[in-house]
Amino acid sequence: MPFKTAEDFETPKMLEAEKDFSEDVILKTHISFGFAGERQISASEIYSPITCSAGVRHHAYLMGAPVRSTNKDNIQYIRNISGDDVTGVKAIAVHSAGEGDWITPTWNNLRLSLFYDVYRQPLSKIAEARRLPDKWNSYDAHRISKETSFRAAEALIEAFLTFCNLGVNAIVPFVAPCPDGSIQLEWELKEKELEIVVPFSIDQKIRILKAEKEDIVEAVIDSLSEMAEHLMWLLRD
Amino acid sequence: MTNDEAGQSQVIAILSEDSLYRRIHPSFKKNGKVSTAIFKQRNPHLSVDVAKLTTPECCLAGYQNHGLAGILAGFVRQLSLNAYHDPLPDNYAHGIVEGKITDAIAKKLVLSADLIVEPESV
Repeated sequence: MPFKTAEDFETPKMLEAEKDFSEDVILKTHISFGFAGERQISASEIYSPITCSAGVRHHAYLMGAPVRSTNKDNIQYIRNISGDDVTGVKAIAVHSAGEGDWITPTWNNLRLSLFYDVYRQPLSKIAEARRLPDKWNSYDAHRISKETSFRAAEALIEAFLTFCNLGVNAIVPFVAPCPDGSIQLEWELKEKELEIVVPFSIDQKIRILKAEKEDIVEAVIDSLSEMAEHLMWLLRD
Repeated sequence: MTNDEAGQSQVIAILSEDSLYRRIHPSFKKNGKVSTAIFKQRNPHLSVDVAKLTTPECCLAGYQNHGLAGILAGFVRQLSLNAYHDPLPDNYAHGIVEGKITDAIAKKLVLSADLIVEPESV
């Protein structure tokens, strides 16, 4: 989905502090993942929280980060978030847009709050993986990079949305850091097992392994959107 | 005392029936099983300990919460990997599983592995 750029919109307005924020929704596009209070935010980065549902139950902001949001009338706001606005939820999903990019508003995807509820544990494991030191496996393991962890979180979101689109309950994957610096997501259903390996380098393709009884099949995919067919294989009788 | 001083520098043959130990980091613990991630590393030389030259306790000394998996050298060789003894100055039991471990091979290794000591949850 293409980004809209700042030029596509009117000049953002500052949001009044007392405004009810519950009408602002931000769309998932390139979603990355961080920890409140821990994440370094460079001047060239703009982070916005995903306000997850119309009820906005999961506001979780990066302290001090400017929040960009778009309301249903397509009016955009920038608001600097103070510590008072930071919720008790530590792990947050944030939108990482390039400087000057804006987020396309959406009003029909209210599933992201559910995502956060259902996939809290695997998201936490991805965050934990990022904190592992060199040689964490007692041999010669590499650290998990920020980029790899973000990509793994994106894969998780893609999987969740795929399950939603199929109208089935999202299956929670097991998340494992790999000694080579990759992260793999593993799903099991009946006798089927699916592994999606998010490699340590952006130059490498995402790898798929499907196992059913004695049969083991390997594949690679070019983009996260191709995960869907493999997740559907998992669900097929 | 080094291995040389102890007369432990001799490289021995690893037989097909020999078991090879690999420590399991707690993050690989998966519902009583082990994730295939355990075998996914960049280096084509996977460090192991030759079971007949050590003990599980010795392998795990100093590695809190870790578990231990055992794989048969014969099975490793069936997967077109090499397995040989490679004593280190501080670890005579050290061995190497050599070769490219693809995702499919990692899966087969995990399926064949014995869980000698289960890692603890952290």
